Amino acid sequence: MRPPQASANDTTATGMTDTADEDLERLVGRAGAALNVQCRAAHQELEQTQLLLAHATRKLLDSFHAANRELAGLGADEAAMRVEQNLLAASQHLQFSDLAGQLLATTEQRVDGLLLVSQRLQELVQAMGVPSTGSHAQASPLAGEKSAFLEAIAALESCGDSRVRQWDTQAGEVELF
Amino acid sequence: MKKLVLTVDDSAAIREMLAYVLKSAGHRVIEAEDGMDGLQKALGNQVDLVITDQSMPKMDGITLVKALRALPQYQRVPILLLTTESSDSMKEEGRSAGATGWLVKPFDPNKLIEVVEKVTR
Repeated sequence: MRPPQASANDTTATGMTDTADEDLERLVGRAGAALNVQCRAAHQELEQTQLLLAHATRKLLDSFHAANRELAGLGADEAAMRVEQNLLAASQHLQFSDLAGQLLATTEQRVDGLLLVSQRLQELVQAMGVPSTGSHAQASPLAGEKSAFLEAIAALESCGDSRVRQWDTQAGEVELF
Repeated sequence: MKKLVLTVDDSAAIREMLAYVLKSAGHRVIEAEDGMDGLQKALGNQVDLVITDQSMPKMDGITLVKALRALPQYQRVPILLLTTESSDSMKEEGRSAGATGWLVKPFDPNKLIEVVEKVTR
């Protein structure tokens, strides 16, 4: 992103390159800022979703157990057996809160990775706008910012696939060894 | 013959649904929240069957299987892995560790009871 070295008789071209690079820096800075704001919002919304899912699941489980206790007090007539069958079916569907929670956790990791990349990108762009001074800075301009940016990209790239493969509410397979 | 089953999962919903289904079939249930908790409870109780999740904090399911298989009293006790993981490589890892079977979440309650009867026979 630094302007390329120009020869002494290439002042016009250098001036145009400087302007183009400044525009590009502003554009990248704006993209980084927008990415940062949206990632923060997505992170909050994921946390909110996880909280709502956890609370709703707890209440559903409590209601499930309460219905089961009520059922225990009833006789073994046909209606009671139908209720029992429905509770048994519900026991399969209530497990999806765990699967949904795992998907949300994976998505949160990805968003956190994007958030870190956007933060490091902003830091890099800000550092690019500051004229370098001193021999150390000249020797390795922006080395710290570049290194932090690369680390953030590596962390984002290391986000694995979700372990949840289900796309419907069918029960999973069983395999005995 | 009713059995004592140890269920190990960091998800309360899975633990509670396992307990509901197993108890409705007449079995007794001990619950653990992770692999380490599961190992401690297995050491404190001689259970007839272990049903464990794979991905958990502190100790994962396959590590738990290996730890249990290293104990003389758990060399022949059936251990089922109940997990969202379904890759062949993970299943092979579970089988090599000494697991008895692999169940992918969510479990079908009727199928679970069938499997429990089969492996504890």
